[in-house]
Parts: sequence; structure tokens; C-alpha cells
Amino acid sequence: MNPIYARRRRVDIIVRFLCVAAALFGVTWLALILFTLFYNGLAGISVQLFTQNTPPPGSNEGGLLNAITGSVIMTMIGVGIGAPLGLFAGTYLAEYGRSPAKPRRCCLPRSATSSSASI
Amino acid sequence: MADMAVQSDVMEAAGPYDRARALDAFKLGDVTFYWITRACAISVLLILGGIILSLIAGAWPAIKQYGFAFLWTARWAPSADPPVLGALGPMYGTLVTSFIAMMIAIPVGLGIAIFLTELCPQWLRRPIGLAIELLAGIPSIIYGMWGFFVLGPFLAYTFQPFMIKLFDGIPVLGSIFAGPPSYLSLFNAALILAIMVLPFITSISVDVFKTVPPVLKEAAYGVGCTTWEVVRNVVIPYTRVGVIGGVMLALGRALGETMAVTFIIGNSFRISSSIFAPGTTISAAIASEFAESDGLHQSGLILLGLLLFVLTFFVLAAARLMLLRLEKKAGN
Repeated sequence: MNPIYARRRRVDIIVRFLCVAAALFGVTWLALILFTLFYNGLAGISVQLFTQNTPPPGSNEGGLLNAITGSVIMTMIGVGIGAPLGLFAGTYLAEYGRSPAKPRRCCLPRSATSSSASI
Repeated sequence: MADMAVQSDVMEAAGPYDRARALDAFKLGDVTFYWITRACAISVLLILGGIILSLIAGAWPAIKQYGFAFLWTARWAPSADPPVLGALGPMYGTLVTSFIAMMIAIPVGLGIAIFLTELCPQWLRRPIGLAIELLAGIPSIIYGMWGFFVLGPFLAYTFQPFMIKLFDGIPVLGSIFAGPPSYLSLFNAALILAIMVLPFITSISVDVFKTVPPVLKEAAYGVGCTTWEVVRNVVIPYTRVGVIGGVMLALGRALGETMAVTFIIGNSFRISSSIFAPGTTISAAIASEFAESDGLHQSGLILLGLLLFVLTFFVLAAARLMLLRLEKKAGN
């Protein structure tokens, strides 16, 4: 075979192999983390976990009810405030922000919102 | 016919009055909607501005005390009298961990995206794509605990000694990969960060790779390109802007990540040339010290937060500028 063809094919095979390796790499982390979580955590799951509050030190009974409720309430309030605000702000940027006279006007809010995602 | 004539008569009679009213109602609704959305957009800006202002106000005593020397002082001694605070250590740690994380995450993330869009058999795409997305759904505290209990010990006994032995005695690399191995190090934090930002790069890259018109790819395959040549010369040039956007998002996440990093970086303010030495990042320093700080120490921590804000902003702005320049070049 023409050496150029052989070289191109070799490069292609190497890159394909690397891509498969990358996918394996990513999935392996997930598998490892999930394995650790289930291996150590499954034993702790019971009805108590969802029905009782965290115990005082020294007691063996109790669950995580307060932590779970707290997460749920906090998330609901957060989404309740954030979702309409974000939706309306996004609508404004998309619909009114780009006027023909000042096409760059929306840049400040847009870059502000994108950088505030990383605070 | 007669029916229609009657109807249109009625409509004409009612027409002018109703139309004016309906238009008024539309106008009112439209104006209200305009102002509501506008108020929301402005309030987003105001919230951001309020955060910056309160950071500056909180950091003011530290700014007055240390001035610009804060940026290049390496000593962090909050209990000295007067306290000596310098941001060089945390800033170094933030930049180094983010840099290493991106070095790992960009090639791997793009590789997974290429695998998912070009190589993977159809039935395997969804499960693997889902698995990568799930990585983004793991809370950072779990990454931190897992890094602390599982990954740290593993790396300290296997990977780190191997690298230290491999590069022993080589001038620059030897000091980057210098011993002793430790459970808590810059490298461990960077590796965890890389895993955390991987799904951002992958899912955005997959999304933009899918927008490449099949005709372009088929044409390239038709003239005899290999998969790699199609990806390099067709897919990536076509989607460059989107890919860089995903990388920027990932970088912003890596710079600001707090909880996972605080667990595994070791919280040492010393600057060491070795990436296997413990260090700290800005957000980790704030998280681990803020609760028991007061006075000038607290103000210094807030100043650190302000620095992180500025740092993130500049890194993202630089990335955006690069993007603009790329676009211009491509346009010419």
C-alpha cells in the first residue's frame, strides 16, 4: 500500500482507540463513584431514614428526615424565585434586548449573567 | 350566502369599536410584559452589582491595610500581630488546579464527544451519554468525600510514586513531580475537578457536533477522508465556537469549585513547585476559614473572594476575546 495511505490509516486507528479510551475513562469514574456509594450506603437505607429526624449524639435511632425536608423546601423556594426571574430576563434579552439601533446593547446583561454562573 | 352577508354586516357594524378596544387591551398587555421582563433583566444586573459592592465593602479594611502587596505576599498568618495576609498561595493553587484540570478534561471530553457522535454504535450512545451526564449530577460533596477516602489513598500508593520515580533527576519535570506522595495534593484536586467538568465539555460538544450538516461529513468521507480527518477538518472547524463556549463554562466551574476541592487539596498556604504537594485554592481557603474568622482576617477572606471574582471574570473575558479573534480570522 502507498505509505501515505498507511500513515493516514494508522493515525486514524490511534485516534479512534484514544476516543474509545476516553469514553471508558469517563464511564469508569461514574462506575467507581456509584460503586463506592452503594457499597457503603445501601446498608444504611431503611424506613427510619425517611421518617425520623437526625438523632442526638450517642443515640442509635433516627433518620435524615429534617435534612431531606430542608433540601426539598430550599430547592422549591430557590426555583420559585429563580425560574420566573431568569425566564423573564431571558425573554427580555431575546425579544427586546437586540434593537437594530444598538445591536450590542444586550452584551452587558448577557456577559454578566454568564459570568455570574461561575461565582 | 345570505347567512354570511348577515354576519359580515354585523361584524362591520361592531368593527371599529371592538378593534380599538382590543388593540388597547393588547397594547396594555404588551407594555406590561415589556416592563416586567425588563425589570427582571435589570434586577439580574442589580443583584450582580450588589454582590460586587458588598464584597468591596467587606474587603475594604483589608484593601486599606495591604493594598496591592496582597497580590504577591506569599505569607498567610492571620494570628500574627498584626495579621499578615497574602493571596499568592491561594491564587497559585486556583490557577494550577484549574490548568491541570483543563489539560485532562479538554482532550478527554472532546474524545468522548467524538466517540459518541462518530464511532459509537447507535444502541450504546444513549447509555454512555447518560452516564456522562450523570457525572454532572453527582453533588460536589460526594466528589470530595470520594476523593478523600478512595482516590487520595489510591493515587498516593500507585500513581504518585510511579510519576515521582519516572521523572526523578530530570531538571524541570523532576521538581514538578517531586515527592513525597500524599493523600491531599494539588494533583488530586485537579483530577477530581477534571472529572467534575468533563460532562460540561462533553455534552456541549456532542450537542454542537450534532449540528454539523451530514452533507458536509458525507462529502468528506466521499473523497476518502478517514474518521479522524473528517473530525479534524470538518466537524471541529464548523463547531469551534460552541466547543470553546463549553470549555469556558467548564473553566468557570473549575475556578470556583469549593466543596470537593476543600476536602482533598490539603489547605496549605505554602507554594510548592510539586503538584503532589498540598496547597489551597481561593474558594477552599474561604470555605475552611471563614466561619472562625473576624476583623481583618475575615476582611482578607472577603478580599480573596473579590479576587476570585475578578480572576474568573478576566479568564472568561480573555477566552471570549480569543473567541472573537478566532471568528474574525475565520471570517477573513
